[in-house]
Amino acid sequence: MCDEDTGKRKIDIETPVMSKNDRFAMKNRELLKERGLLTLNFISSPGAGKTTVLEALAKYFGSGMAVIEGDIQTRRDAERIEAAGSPAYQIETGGSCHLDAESVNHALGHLDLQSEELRLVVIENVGNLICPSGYDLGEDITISILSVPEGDDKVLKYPSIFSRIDILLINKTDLLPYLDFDMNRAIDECKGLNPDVVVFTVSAKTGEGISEFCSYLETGFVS
Amino acid sequence: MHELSIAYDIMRILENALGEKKPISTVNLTIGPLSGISPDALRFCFTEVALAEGFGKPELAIKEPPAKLVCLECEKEYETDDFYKGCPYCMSLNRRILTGREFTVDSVEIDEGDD
Repeated sequence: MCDEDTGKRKIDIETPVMSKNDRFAMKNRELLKERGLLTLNFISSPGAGKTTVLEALAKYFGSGMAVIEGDIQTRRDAERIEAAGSPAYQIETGGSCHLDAESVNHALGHLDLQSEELRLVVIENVGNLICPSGYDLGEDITISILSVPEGDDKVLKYPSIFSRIDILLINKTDLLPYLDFDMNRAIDECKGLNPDVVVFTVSAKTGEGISEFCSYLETGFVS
Repeated sequence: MHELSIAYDIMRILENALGEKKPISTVNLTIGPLSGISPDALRFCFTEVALAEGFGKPELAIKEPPAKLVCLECEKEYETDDFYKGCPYCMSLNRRILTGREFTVDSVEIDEGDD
């Protein structure tokens, strides 16, 4: 189409910018479904307790769970998960602020997905509440951890992530006596943005609420 | 802040759609308020990336449609890009999001003289 007045030609493209990522996400989803695995993507700010929650899950599920760790640098998190009892593969993004479905696809090749015991694959995203929100990794369930010290007002500050999650885990409940965190506000604001969200309150440090969360995950396992 | 890598992804989409690298006068995008993309951060790096990748110095024209929501109290639909505000009819903050995650390359404009 050429506009005679401006001398400009317009070419329609109509392509989602995330289309390449979304193709890899679909590949991951098909592969994981074929193996009968439930897959989780954990997204939170740095220090909310993702790895500590996953250590608690590793103690519960052991070799029934495998973890893909995303960090800018170091194998520290993968080492913590392995020490707690589950196999782990570390992606070092080298500066990138999020995981994409292509890097997860590569990481899946390093996990023993044929293992008889394996039921659950967990992806721990890079600590960040904004950038990972646009990247589907092929997971079944997207989980955000909000920790008590971050404050009860964070949900509406980061609507792109809290509006798309399936589960909200409120972590570090052992600190509630020391901080002014309004639990009802955090939960109500999340449900007001995302009415179907399922909420668990846990302390990965003391273990409070962890077995309820794990039992809930087990209901999603393929028998 | 991942808009720099996003700018490179957009260049790949342009190259695939046009079949070559060539100067472009305007790139038209749509960015929804729940896409996780900052239009300003993208504008900041876009021209440099386009120039370095062989697409000239295109203007970036971004359409920012508001999100569409439905109020779960009064059941009316409304639009917003401010999630602190409730339903304009009944003030309720209980809502379901219908749209807002759009992030597309819609079209490009090319000067015929450059063609």
